[in-house]
Amino acid sequence: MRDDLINVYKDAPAIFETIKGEIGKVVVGQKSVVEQILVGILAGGHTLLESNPGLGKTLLVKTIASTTGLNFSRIQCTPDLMPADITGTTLIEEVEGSKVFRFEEGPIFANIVLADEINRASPRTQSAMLEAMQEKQVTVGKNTYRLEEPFFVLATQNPIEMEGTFPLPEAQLDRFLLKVFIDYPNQEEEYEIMERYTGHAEPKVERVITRRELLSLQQLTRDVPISDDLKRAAIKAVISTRSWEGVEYGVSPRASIGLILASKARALLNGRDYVSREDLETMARPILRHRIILTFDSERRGVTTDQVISDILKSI
Amino acid sequence: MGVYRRFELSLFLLNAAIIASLIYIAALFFGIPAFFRFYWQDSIFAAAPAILSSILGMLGAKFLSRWSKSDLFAHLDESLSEKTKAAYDNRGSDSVVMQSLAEDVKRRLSKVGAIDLMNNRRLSLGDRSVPIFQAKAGAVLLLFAFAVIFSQSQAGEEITPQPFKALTDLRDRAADLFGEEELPEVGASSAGISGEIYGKPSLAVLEEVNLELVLYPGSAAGFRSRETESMDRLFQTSEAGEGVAVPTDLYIESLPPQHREIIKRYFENLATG
Repeated sequence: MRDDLINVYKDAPAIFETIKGEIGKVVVGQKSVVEQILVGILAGGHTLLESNPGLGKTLLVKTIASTTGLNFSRIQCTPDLMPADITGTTLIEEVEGSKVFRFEEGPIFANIVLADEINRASPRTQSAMLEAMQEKQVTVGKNTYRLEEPFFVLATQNPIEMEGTFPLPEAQLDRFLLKVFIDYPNQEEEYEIMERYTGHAEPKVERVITRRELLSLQQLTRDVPISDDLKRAAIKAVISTRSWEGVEYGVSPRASIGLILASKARALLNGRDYVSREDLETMARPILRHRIILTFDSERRGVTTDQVISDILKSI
Repeated sequence: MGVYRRFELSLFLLNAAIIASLIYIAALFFGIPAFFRFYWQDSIFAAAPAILSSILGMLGAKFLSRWSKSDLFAHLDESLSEKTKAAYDNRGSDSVVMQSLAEDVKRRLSKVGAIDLMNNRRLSLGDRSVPIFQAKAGAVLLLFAFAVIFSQSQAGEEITPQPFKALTDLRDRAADLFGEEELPEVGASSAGISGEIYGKPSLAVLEEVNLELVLYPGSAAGFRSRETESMDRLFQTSEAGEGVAVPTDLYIESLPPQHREIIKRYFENLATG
């Protein structure tokens, strides 16, 4: 096992470069977005992607899933989606003349689950994912089924067209390790997108990492050393959110754990064997932004959670 | 790390010198060294303020060194500093990543000399910065110079027995030559000071003989001890007289008889409120 880890650790820079290269065949630019999603995968957390329509959220998730040798499923969330449509249901089946119950697994039983436009699902359906996301298990009736490791939910939502949507409750938002914003591509990137997708051949990606390698990388992520100073800085940042001016509710201890794990994952992804302050500061925004609830007055003044996080980072 | 330890010791001594100088300058301001020199001129106690300042300086430097514990990692370049801190804080771990980090840190630290750590200790002075060692050494020199100048400026104001020694010697010689009665004129005139500078002579009466007690300038400043031959003195005993108690007049009796009653009533009313 240790030899496996040593080999994977030695190959890690090459693996990451290959993954980025494969994703780059399909997704133009968005390097920081790709990095953050990979951080989420290495840290074993779920990621919420938010952008205006047409910016390639779904394409990005599908591409990342394709580069890994993992089971991938997609849930297109709509208001009439039922919890059983996600978790699965029990069917009555006739076997050798007698009727037996059989559990038919839903799309949640996959390694990578794309929950597209998650805010269009009803709160009941959204909460059906809570247990799967946190406990990595699904309970149907009296039976509990373990989900196979690794398990990630990559959910997307767009901030416009709010009619007919159900904003995710705070409890569910807190279960997402990262919230990643996808911005518009610049002129050169847009030109490249146009070139790439207006021809006959559409870019294809290859599987470059196995499930076993990914699990090893997740284990190595947790082993990345971090100094006590940076741990204290992370805790200070997290605690500051609870008493910061203009913040109604600060973040939970889950955010501290997430911040450290994500910083470790970013360090490993960038070929470093230690966590730097830059890792911590870079990961603070995607880790904390969806967990901070601003006061009404702050929202009225147009203050964003990212601005609050920037101010907090300056103070520590 | 012998060089670094010597550097730390030098810094400790510089800190001690700075603190001791500051304390001694404060003592000079309050005139404490002058006070000690005056009363214990030829004794080790005359140097007590300087010794005490030095001890307090050492204690202060010790406290300072504990309080601002030297952070060696901070003197390395940023990436090596973070790397070394992470390695040090996770030294108990034997993970694959930690082993890789430890080897890397060991390799990189082997290229770092003690002098690299020292040169990074700098003191920011506005737009410029100077090495903290040189800055502290400069501060010590400045404080010493200030202490010397300050103590010299105070030297004229100090009162020591020396200026008065000539007067007291003169007085003693005059006493030997002219006797007690002529002492004032001789002592005072020699010193160029009038014998009546302190006012009229006091008068004491001893066995119906008038004795003039005159205080001369200088005669009270300082002291000198002289050994004298012991002599036997005869003391006459006398019988103690019997004391007779004499009653004093009552206050009421000293009042005019016609007003006694009204005054008595006044005080009675006053007492009862």
